[in-house]
Order: sequence, then structure tokens, then C-alpha cells
Amino acid sequence: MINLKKTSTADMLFRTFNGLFMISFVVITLYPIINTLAISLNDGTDALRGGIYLFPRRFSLKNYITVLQKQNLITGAYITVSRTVLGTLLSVVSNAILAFIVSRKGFLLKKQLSIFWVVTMYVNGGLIPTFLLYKGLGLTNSFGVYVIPGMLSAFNMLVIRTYMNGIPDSLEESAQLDGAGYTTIFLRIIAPLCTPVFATIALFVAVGQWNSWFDAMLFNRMSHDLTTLQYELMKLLSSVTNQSTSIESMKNNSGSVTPTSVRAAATMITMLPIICVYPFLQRYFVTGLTLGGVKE
Amino acid sequence: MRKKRIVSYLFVIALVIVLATGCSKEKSNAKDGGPKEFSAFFAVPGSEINDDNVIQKVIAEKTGVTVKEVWLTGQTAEEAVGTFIAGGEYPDLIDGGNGSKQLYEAGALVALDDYIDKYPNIKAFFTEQQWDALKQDDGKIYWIPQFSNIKGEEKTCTHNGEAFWIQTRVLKWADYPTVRTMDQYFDLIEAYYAANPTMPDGTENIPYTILCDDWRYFCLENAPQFLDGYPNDGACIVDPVTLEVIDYNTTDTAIAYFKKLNEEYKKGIVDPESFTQTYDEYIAKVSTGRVLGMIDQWWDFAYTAGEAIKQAGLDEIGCEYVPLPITISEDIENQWHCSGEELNVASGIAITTDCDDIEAALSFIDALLTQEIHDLRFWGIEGENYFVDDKGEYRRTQEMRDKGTDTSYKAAHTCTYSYFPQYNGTSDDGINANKPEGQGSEFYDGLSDNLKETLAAYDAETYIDMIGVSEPPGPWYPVWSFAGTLTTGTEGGFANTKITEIKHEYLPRVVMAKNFDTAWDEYMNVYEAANPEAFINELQVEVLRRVEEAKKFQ
Repeated sequence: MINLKKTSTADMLFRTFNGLFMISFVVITLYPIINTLAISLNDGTDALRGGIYLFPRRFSLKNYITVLQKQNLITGAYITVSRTVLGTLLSVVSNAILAFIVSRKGFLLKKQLSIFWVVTMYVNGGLIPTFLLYKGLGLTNSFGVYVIPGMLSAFNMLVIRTYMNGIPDSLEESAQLDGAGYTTIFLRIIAPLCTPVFATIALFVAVGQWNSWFDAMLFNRMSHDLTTLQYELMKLLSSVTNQSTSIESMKNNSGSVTPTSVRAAATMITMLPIICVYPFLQRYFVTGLTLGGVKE
Repeated sequence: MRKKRIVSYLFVIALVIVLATGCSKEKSNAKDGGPKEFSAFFAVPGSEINDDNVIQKVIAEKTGVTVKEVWLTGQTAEEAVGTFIAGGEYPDLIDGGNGSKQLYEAGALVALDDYIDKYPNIKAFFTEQQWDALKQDDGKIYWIPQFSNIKGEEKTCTHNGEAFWIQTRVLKWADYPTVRTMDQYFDLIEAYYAANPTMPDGTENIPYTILCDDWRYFCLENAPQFLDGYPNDGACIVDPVTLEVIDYNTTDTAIAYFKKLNEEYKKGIVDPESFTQTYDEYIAKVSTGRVLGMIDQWWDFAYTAGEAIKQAGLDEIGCEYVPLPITISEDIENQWHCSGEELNVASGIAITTDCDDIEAALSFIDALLTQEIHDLRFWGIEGENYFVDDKGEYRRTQEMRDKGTDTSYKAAHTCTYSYFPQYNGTSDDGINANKPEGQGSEFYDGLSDNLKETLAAYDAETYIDMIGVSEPPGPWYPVWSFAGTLTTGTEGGFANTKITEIKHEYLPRVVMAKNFDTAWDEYMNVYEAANPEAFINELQVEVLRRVEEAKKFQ
């Protein structure tokens, strides 16, 4: 307020509009979450009538009880946590190693190999061939299917490579003069400098692993001890959603929880861990993601 | 320092791998001496039974078998079946739903013909004629449809199918008039709406809404067959005397029906959101109790919106629905409710080639059909889920009823094995219904006062009494069980797909048109161009075939 005179009218206008814009932006992003929370805390049948905005109308914890009482949830949570931890670690490590190799100036086939990997970003075999391949590799009905196929991703690898390209060559050269081999250069010089990009990729992969349910359904459908958290929630949701044309499945679904309310409760439960992790990784985003932006 | 960190990472990795693999190996040798476990997949969404389910355990003690059920999630039936076929591995038991034919064609199913005679309950589940209808083109039976089978006398209290529904408050306001035709129905709604434009709390009433979302547009399109006094063949009208298949989309009644909707739309009686609302929005709307009337199938709204109405106490002001026996003119006898069973031959429970003990699986299904286990499945445990009164009738207290709708109680306690063969109708004792929803006393006790009053005013005790019952018209019934299996591979199936698209596009236009006649003519031009005769001809062939088949058993 003291500096009011010094700021020009243009500045004032900008600040006001910027402030207003930001406030409306915050409202737009926060509202869905608060609304979902309100619906998830409302009685299911009552929520059907609509008209719930910021506060639950008829408070009930039934939706959460229904979701949390689901029996395979513990197994699912265990597998999901395992695959998130293991999958993220493996993915970051293997993408980093590969990116390091490809980012070396002296590496012979880097151009050809890069093109080869880029192709995989655009072309894939489709559902059934993928299924047959995994089955042939013995990955179906196993934990491996969650972490092994996702270990390398061309996109993530390229992001890391681009970041590594941004590190001055002289660092590597001086290390080489001091007698360091490639392993030492990678572990001691490059990797520590790449923490931001590693954290970014880790978040990408971790969110993907955490939210994944399709692979559990497709490859491990009949193995109950390999179910994942999201797949269990998905099952719960589709058991209360009246998707089917069949009378019988409609009859099975009566009760005081409804698709709307269970969906809201499941969303809240799924969102929580990511929200908790996000603030700690968010700062790396600023420096982490450079894809084709900076050239030497 | 850094080395230590890497070592600790590796340690975590190793630990997780050990834990993960260790956990996955437990299962295989845990089943020594216990009941035999079969896996089953059903290509419809459903609720899982908990592992420690009480009734599942009782059934396992009596039969030596438990079934681990897996339901459809996140895919269509065809996709799910497709991945099974691609992988070449199947669960022991499967109901492929719309993908049943694919399973059969892939050679994944075991022919049941040689087995059926050995299992008396399975054998008795269908008549010779019905078993015959289940034969695939190689002359063998591969699946057993689980539903719509009536033992003894039929016991039904609700009308599960389609009807013109109206709120009891509208009927009460007009002092329970006789409503027989569509004109009377809309006149009544118009009059009530003019006198009561709003709900007691001030929100506006919606006189008539039409659900039109995706496959649920039956609420808009297939009323003409009912209005002409025919039962729900779904795809067409079949003349019971000449056996001629008639296209209900082009009859005079169809024109009159859509013209009426058009008039009502112009008067503001038909909800203007009708053709844009999704199913969820429709349910939300009906749940508020504001909708005075609509056409729908009972199961499509009653278990969701109907519950919401009761829970919000709107039943006290008469927001519950009853069906009306409406036809196009008073001289036509309605057939909205057709008694008896509708055998849907298109899918059912099947045993796959991966099942290592076919005999055990079949004797399990056989045991599920015994009255004792059937009662366990649908009524529960005596004293816990129901009690028997001095007349031998099964009753439930309100507490028991509440348990029956509690999802978590159901998951832990009730085990209906809902996609295994089951009976409706009367139990072997001749007194009770095979399922609680068929038990007359149970049904009547659960009704609100308003509903009881309305039913009494029409001299009725159940919903069915409101619209009457008719016998199945003939051996072709229902034609939808054939029409549903048509693919675009045949000329008629292709025409059917096209007609469906055209109806989706043009019927809303017809209803909303400023000039009905020109809109109808435009619709008819496009409709005729889609070659509907090819579809009708294929239905005609099938109807005659079914009639011929039936003659063998007379």
C-alpha cells in the first residue's frame, strides 16, 4: 500500500486482473474436488437427487465404509504399493542408464537407435498381439507384468536424454582427465545433476503405476492375489453401476450406495496419496522437464 | 555415502521382489482337503462374494464346492471373451453374455448333451422343447440359461417390464379415474399439471419425460406394439393368427402415438430435456419426485430412483409410480405384462474345456437347484434372514429386510450365486415363493400407505393387478431373443443396425417438429430407404421356424 503511488496504472490493472484470474482459476480447480468430497460424504440414494455443491446434505460415511470394506482391498493396496515403488525405481534406473548411453557423443548408433525408439511412441501392436506376446513371455498371471513392460518408455528416456544433453561436456571431459570411467561419470557426475529430471520422471511413472488397473484386469483377472487397488475400486464401481442390459444385474444392485456416491468416495481415496506426494516433487518440475527446448 | 544409498536401494528392490513373489505362491497349495474351488467368469457387471461369506461356506459344506466369481469390469462382454480366446485359457465356468457364440465358435465350451441326463435337477430345469431350443448349429447344447424359469405357480408382485407409469398423487387428485387410453393418460396429466404446477416445496413439476439415452431409447420407440395390444416381442409385432410379422414402426398406431407426443411437446407437457438427458440425469430427475409420468421398464428406475423417492419421504405425498393398462383405444386388450417364462437362448452358464472336473461342476449346479440350497441362496438362513410363521410361510422382520439391502452385509453374508441356474415361482412346499420378491405378504408389508390406497382403489393388491396378465402368445415369443443375435453380417441385421440409427436421429425430430406431418414423411422416406423389409423377412423366417420346432413337441 505504501508503494501505491510508484506503481503505474498499467501495473495496477495487471495486478488486479492477474489476481482475479488466479482466484477464479483456484476456484475452478478446487471446486470439483470439494464437490466430490461433499458427494462422497453424502448418503448415496439422497445424492441421486443431485443439487449437492459444497456441503453434504445428508451426512453419511457409508460410501467410505462400503469402499473400505471391500475384501481384496488390502491385497490390492499391497500390490499397488509394491508395483509403484518397484516399478518407479526400475523405470527411472533403466531409462536413466539408456539415456546416458544415447546422450554420449561418441556412441555410434545413437541416431538410428533413437529413431527406432521414437517409432515405438507412435506405433504399437494393439491389444491382442500385446496380450499374446505377454502370454508367450510368461508374463500373464504374474507380478512381472506390472513392472517389466513399463521399465522402458521412449518418451521418458528422451526427456532424460535431453536433460543430459544440457549438461556441459566439459564436466565429463575433466572427469575423464582425472581417470574416471563411464560408470563413475554416470554415477558421480551426471546422475546427481539429473535429480530434477529423475524426480519428474519418477512422479510420472508413479502416478501411472498407482492409477493403473487395466493391466490387472487384462492379464491377471483370474489371479485374486495379484489384484491392484484401482482394479478393486473399478470392480466395485462397475458392480454398482447399472451398465448392463440385464434385469438380473439391476436387481443385485439395490441398496443405499449408488454409483455416484461410490465413485466419489473411490476418487477421494485414490487421490489422497498422490496429493500427499505431489508437493514434495513439485519443485523439481520447474527445472525437470526440458524436451527439445534448450540447445547447446 | 553414495554407495550406501545404492546398496539400500537394491535392498529395497530385493525385499519387494521377495515379498511380492512370496505372496503369489501361497495360493496353489492351500487347498488341501478343503472344498474344491472352481473359477467362474460372468460377462456382466456384478458383486463379488467375500471369501469368508457365511452362506457360501454352508453351501460348500453341503456340496464340497466353492466358486470364485469374477465379473465383467471395464470391458464389453465381447472384449472380455475375446481376450480369453486369445490367451487360450479359460475359467472353469463361464457365461459369455453377448460373447457366448464366440466362445462356442472358438471351441472353448464343453457339449453338455451326454451329461444332462445324469443330473435330475438340471434335466428338470427345462422341458424337452426348451432343451431343444438351446441346441447350437452342430446340434449340441453348450450353455444353460439361468433365469426366467418358473417352478409351480408363478409368483410375481411387481411388473418388471415396460409400462406407462404415473404417480399415485395424480390418480388420487383425480379421485382414481379409469385410465385406459393414451389420450386419457395425457388428459389426466395435463389437468393435474394445470392445477398443481409445483411440488409442495415450490419446485416445478415435470409432467412427462422420455428417457432416450443410447440403448435405453426403448422408452421412446417401442410403445406402439404395446398400444396395439401386443406383448413385448421387442423387434416387431407378430399376428397370432396368420403368424405374419408386422413392422410396428410404421403402423397407424405408431403415427398416432408420435403425433400425440408431438402435440404434448408443443403444449409443454413433454419435458424439453427429454432427448438430451443422460441416464444419470434422468434418474436424478425422477428421484426428486417431480416427474408425473413416463414410459420405462420397472427395473430401469425402481431400484435406484424408486429407492431415493422412498428415502426422501416423497412416498408420503404420492410420488411413487403405478403402471396403467394403456392402449391406443379402449376396445384393445393390453398385454403389457406377459406371464410365464421368456427363455433367452442367447447365453447361459457353460463349462469350458479348461475345467478339469466336469462332473463335479455339473453336480454342483445340480445341487444348487435342490430346494434346500435354493432357499439358502435366496432366503438365507432360517432365524437369521427369515422366520417361518405358523402357516409355514416365510416372513421377514423389518430388521431382516434392512439387512437384505445393506451392501456390506450382503457381501459378507448372502451368497445367491446369482448367475447360476435358479427358479422363480413356488417352492416345493407349495406355500412359499422361491425368492423373497415373489412373496405376496412380504411385498404388501413393504408398501407405503399411499401405494396401498391406490392399489385398493383399483381393486388391486400388486402392480400386476393394475395392468392384468396375459399368456405368452405363441412359441415364437419373444422375438427379441433372436433379433438380439443378428449381426451386420446378414442383410437383415445390417438393415436393423441402420434402422436403429435412423430412429435415434429422427424420432426426437418428429416429436419436436413444428409440423408433424412433414417431419414424419421425411422420417419415413429415410426409413424406407434403409431396407426394413430385409430385417422383417429374417424375423418372419425365424418365427415360422420356431413355430415348426414347437410342433414337434405337441
